[in-house]
Amino acid sequence: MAQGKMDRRTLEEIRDRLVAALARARAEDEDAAESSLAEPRRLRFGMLAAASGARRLPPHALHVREGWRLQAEFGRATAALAVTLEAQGAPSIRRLRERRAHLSTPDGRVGYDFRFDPYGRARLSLSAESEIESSLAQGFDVEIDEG
Amino acid sequence: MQNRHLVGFSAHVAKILNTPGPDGWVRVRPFALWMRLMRTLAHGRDGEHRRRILGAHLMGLDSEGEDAEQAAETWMREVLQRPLRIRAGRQAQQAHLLLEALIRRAPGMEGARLMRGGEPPDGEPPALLADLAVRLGRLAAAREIKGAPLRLEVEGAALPVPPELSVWEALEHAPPLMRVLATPAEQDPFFHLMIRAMETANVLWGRSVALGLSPKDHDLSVNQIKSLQAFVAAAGGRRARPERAALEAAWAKSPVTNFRSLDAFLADPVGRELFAGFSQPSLTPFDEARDAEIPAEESRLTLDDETLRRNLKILRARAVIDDLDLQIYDALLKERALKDIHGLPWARKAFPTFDSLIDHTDMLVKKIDREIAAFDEEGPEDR
Repeated sequence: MAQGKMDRRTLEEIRDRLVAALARARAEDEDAAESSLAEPRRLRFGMLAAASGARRLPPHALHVREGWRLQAEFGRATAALAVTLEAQGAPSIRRLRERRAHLSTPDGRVGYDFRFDPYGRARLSLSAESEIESSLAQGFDVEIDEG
Repeated sequence: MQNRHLVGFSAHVAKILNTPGPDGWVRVRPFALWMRLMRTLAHGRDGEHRRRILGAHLMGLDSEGEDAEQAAETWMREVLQRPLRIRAGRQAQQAHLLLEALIRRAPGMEGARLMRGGEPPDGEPPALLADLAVRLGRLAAAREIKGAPLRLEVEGAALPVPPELSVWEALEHAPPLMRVLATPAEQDPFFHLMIRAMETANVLWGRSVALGLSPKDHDLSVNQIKSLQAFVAAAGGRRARPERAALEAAWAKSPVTNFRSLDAFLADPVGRELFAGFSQPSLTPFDEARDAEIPAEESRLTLDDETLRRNLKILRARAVIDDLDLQIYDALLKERALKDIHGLPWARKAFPTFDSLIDHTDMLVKKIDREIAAFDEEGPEDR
């Protein structure tokens, strides 16, 4: 059997190399997850405006996920349904300002391209049809474009 | 034991600094890097970094969004930007080694080396590093120099290096172009430097978080906090309203530096915070939380793979590690990712799940840690 003297520094280096190699190998595994967090692209906000089955929109809805906070407000006029999207807090404003985005409903009734302003706000004007409101009330997505 | 979350974050930073652009070269854009690290610390690993590295919950900043990013930015300013000092009798510190490793990755600069004392060369810096030399010169001029100045010798020129340098300053003074470290044998020494530099910078903050103290709400020194850790360990860990006799026994064994008595300590806000039961508990298991003891000398990996394998066989012969450990270690020296290792037939057989492989690698580190501890107890003649 191989026997031999080993000093403390060698033992430490065996441990340190192991720690570094493990950290490197795990970083490789996690790279995809970390980079999607670091460089958000085409984030989808599943904004459930109301409980399933609801046909009327509530006054507002709030979407929160890590580092992202976006509020939607709904205002009704005779011919238009106004949807105001507003980033809440500096981190969200920083991420959303001047970004292009797309609002859509899963049933395909609503599809609306828009851009957030420098303050992370966007005002959308939709047709005030009951089908549109009902579709939005089932939940909708706000997809942030790349770039 | 090391803070595995800090090790993971350090590896993440090292990985970013080894990720090439479309032209195959690595470039560091300091502002983008700063923002990216801030986001990772604030939100990465489902908030684990926020709690276990930043201790955001201890500062009252654990909610998502702005609070989390505030906590991350505070950590970056106080840890990442904290100038590290050269210890007495040493030539350099860990951030210097990191800077040296970064500069060696510039094309044609493999021979760059840190020097102190002697006659510096007087050549012009290479064109690629001309701007960097000016910026480093400004930084060095702004810092008080005690003893012989430090320099990086490269291509017959001497780049000034401030004796006090932070991890962040090392990163933002990376050369404009860096080659990719292609193999594990090249990558691991760089990852080690990053891990050790972060651990050195984080020593006070990390110990504070490990004890369950808000790093921003006390002014204990590193030595005080070390003695505090020893006291808490002697008292059997942190507890709300522990028995007086247990605290007195712990105090007799390990009093906290700069407090004249147990009562004086318990009357202090820190003592009240730890033992009155009002504060947030630490999320890090206590035995895992004693942050890595930072060695007195700066640390870099020097063993080549062949020497390493020879020494691993000695550890196997002494039954410190077993055949499976040896196989895993050997695979780590060759494979890029842990998932690649798990894909190998023998590993798939030994570890039905990926998590069981991860658990085993953690145990392997502990086995070698125990051997190092035993070395201290028994002395080298028994090794």
